[in-house]
Amino acid sequence: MKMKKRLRVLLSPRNIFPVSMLAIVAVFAVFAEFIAPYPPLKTGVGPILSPPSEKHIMGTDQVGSDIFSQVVYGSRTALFVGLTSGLIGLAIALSLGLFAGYYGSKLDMLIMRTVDLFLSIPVFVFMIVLLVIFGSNITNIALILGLFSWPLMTRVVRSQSLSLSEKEFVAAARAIGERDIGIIFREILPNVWPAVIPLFMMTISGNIVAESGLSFLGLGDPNTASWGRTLAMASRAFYAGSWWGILFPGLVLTLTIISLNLISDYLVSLLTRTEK
Amino acid sequence: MKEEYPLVEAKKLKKYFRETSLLGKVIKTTKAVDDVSFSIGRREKFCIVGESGSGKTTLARILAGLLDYDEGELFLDGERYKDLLEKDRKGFRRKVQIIFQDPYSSINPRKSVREFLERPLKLHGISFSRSDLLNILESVGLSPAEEIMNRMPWELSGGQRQRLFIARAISLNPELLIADEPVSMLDVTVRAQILSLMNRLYEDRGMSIVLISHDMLTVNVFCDRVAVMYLGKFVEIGKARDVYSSPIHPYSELLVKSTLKPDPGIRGKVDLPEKEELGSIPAVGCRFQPRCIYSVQRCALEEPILREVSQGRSVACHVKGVSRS
Repeated sequence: MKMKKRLRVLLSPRNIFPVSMLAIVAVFAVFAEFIAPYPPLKTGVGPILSPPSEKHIMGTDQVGSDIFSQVVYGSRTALFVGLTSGLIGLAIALSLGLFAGYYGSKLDMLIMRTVDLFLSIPVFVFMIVLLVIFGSNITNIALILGLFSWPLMTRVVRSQSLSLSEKEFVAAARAIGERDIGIIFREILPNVWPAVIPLFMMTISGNIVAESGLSFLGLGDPNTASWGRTLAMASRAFYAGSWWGILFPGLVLTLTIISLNLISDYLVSLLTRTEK
Repeated sequence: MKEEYPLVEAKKLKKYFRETSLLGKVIKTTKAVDDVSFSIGRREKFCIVGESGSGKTTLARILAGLLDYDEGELFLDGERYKDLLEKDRKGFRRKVQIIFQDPYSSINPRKSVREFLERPLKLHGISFSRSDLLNILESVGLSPAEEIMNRMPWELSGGQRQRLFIARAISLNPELLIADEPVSMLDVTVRAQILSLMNRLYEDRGMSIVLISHDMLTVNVFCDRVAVMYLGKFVEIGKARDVYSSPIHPYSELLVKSTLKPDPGIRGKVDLPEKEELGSIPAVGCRFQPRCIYSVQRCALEEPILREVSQGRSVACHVKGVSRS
């Protein structure tokens, strides 16, 4: 009953676009081997700078690689980096923020000043330095982005946790014998989601863009297809008339980000509904 | 059960809230509970009455083991609260339950009725069946229980929420139930229902009840014994009926005269025994003195202590509190 209803709401006109967009990207990511017609980074699979055609539906770049295949494999990179880094950030934010807000005092002070520190430094420069030191591969990119994703989420989780811990239902839980850990995870956490989910989704989309940015700058994984890398190649061929190299990966990137933000709105409305 | 002890005994209980500056210097001290002693017997309905700011909610939270006290001692069945909470926390929680004022904030909005109700039973390892849960809901007048059990809190009215909360509190079979203004946030029509529900549960189960209230009328209807609290201190303790019908302390008198009379003939200004302006808490002397119309010179100089004026009746007042033998 409930599942059917949820499915119907998920596929309502309002959600149909972002859901199907993300579904396509997800299918690309999971089944890249079966969908992509060519190995994405292999050169000379077609003529150089061929416009969209039957054999290359998104055209080719200046070394004769298939752009559609790069977009498909790039989805895998984008989702992997976005989700991994987002989840790392979320995990750190929850484990720090929930406790900082609930217990307060010196621990809280320490965590919040660290957050301020992280928010005040130019993170991108640090990421570049770390990538140069540890070497650029897709796992390192995901980890490093994750390690810089927690501060803002932590601040939000902490402020929620702080205000929720004063609520009477927390005192009520203590009165029936709930321990601190039970209160934090059973009473506070479920009420923190509505505030954190939009930020979590924003972090994912931000990190997808960041990965593309790094790849665009040539700091990405040299052995992995990425939307940013395709865009970088195409940007050099743009004056040779290659509009397709910019348009298709750019469009997929943009639509993916928009879809993520729309879905986050929907998730919040789902979590904060107070009537059916 | 150790019958030789009263269920609850408080001796010179104190709770001060201190506001400190960044450097840890105390700026302001609020004496929420200041040197309060009393005892509550088994199967007794004990009331604490006072206006907002009198410290009654703080006292309720201390009694419920949700707040530490600074000084003095508090015993449950002859054992110190602090020891009980340390050694047998779960046992203590089973014995003492509390109902809060605002049923809209005391129930987690993200838990269904069923989850809310199950939690204490699971927490204390009490086995239960679905029909047990339904019985609990029925016993507080929530029906159809079957349907209500699957609801979310926002699908319940204020009165239903308070019933649900009471249901959870009594599901652990407490010996002491503290009710912190359980009806003051509810519609007038619902108040009587909730109070009579509590009364019925009291009759059925025979636990002791501490009712916190600001309304003398409620106190008179519900309670056996009442303590009148003013700015952290008890100013009068006695049988609820006696205090309501013939209050001795000027503050008790003020509270009794403030109750609404079901007489539309009374209009305009009610004759309250109170000076016009409210004074601040005096550094010396009686706390109520700035508001008191009976005050004499001594009241400004010396703080009156609670003295027994007759059997089971104590008053802290220099003027009115003299023994009427």
